[in-house]
Amino acid sequence: MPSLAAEPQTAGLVLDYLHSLSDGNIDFEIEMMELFLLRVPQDIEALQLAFDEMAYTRISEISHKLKSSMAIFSRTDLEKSLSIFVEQSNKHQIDEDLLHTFALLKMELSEFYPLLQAALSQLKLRKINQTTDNQ
Amino acid sequence: MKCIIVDDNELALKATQQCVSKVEQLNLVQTFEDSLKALAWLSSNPVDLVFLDIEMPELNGIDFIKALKQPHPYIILTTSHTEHALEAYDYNVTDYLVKPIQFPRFLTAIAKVQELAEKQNIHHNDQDTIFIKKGNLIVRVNKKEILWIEGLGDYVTLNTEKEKFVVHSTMHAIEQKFSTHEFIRVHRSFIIRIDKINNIEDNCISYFDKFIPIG
Repeated sequence: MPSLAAEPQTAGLVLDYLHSLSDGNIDFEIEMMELFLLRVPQDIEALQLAFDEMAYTRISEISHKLKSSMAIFSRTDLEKSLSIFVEQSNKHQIDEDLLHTFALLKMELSEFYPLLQAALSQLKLRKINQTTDNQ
Repeated sequence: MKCIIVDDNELALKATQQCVSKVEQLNLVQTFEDSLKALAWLSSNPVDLVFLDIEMPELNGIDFIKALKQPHPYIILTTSHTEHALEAYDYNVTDYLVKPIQFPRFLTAIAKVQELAEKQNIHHNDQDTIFIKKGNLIVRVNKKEILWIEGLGDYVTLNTEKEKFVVHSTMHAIEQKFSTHEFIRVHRSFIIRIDKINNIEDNCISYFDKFIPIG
């Protein structure tokens, strides 16, 4: 039987890992989604700054940190791009192609945030409904 | 089993925390996003197990392990980089989990830790408690509850008011785990609590309803 929290699945959004971890714990899923929506834009902003300043170590560190966040939300495509950032920045090889990949990553994320936000809203609504039903 | 999580990514930390919360034997006492703070905290707060991210700014996981006091707690590394695995094993880590952590794999790692703990049979936890194997379980026993310890060949019994634990160990090994301020070895087969001694008569100590020989 699928977990309660596993029911809402917005198209284009794969939350399988999160569901497998939550065991139907809606509060946990809400917390994780909120954290993603809060932290990832901050990290992307910091990564942009690091690219602007060609700060190789920071590019590597921030990209690496972001990889875990992407993995949790099953964005393995973005995780791969971030791995390339880590690899290339460690070699001090930041070129036009890499900057283009970063631009694409930001675009992908800008499309991902609203999907996640919608799923989060659904989840919050369902929590309210559950609370009401229980009363 | 007391554990902490060290990970600079809050989302990854919460994911590990969720795995920990599903395992009854694990008692999460603290989480850290800053590895330096974790290291400082550990110096005065011993734990049994550390879930440790490898790639962290300032102090990475490998340097963290190098800086730990020996013997260090069980370490389970968590990382996105599989290539660090070989190097990690040089530092006596118990297991290595690739992020995102899959819960069945997490359970395997915990089983490895428990297996190691069981092999040691009884291992030191902190100043006040010890873990003792009891059937298939490893239970935490407060040292204050232990009244006397008796050697029986290759085994020792740890006696509390309500229970008796039989442990595969030697009297010498067990003696090292108890403070000399509270316990005294009065005979090759007996260690007793100093504050529970009623009186001493000739070569015997009156201790509760027992007479314990002095060696």
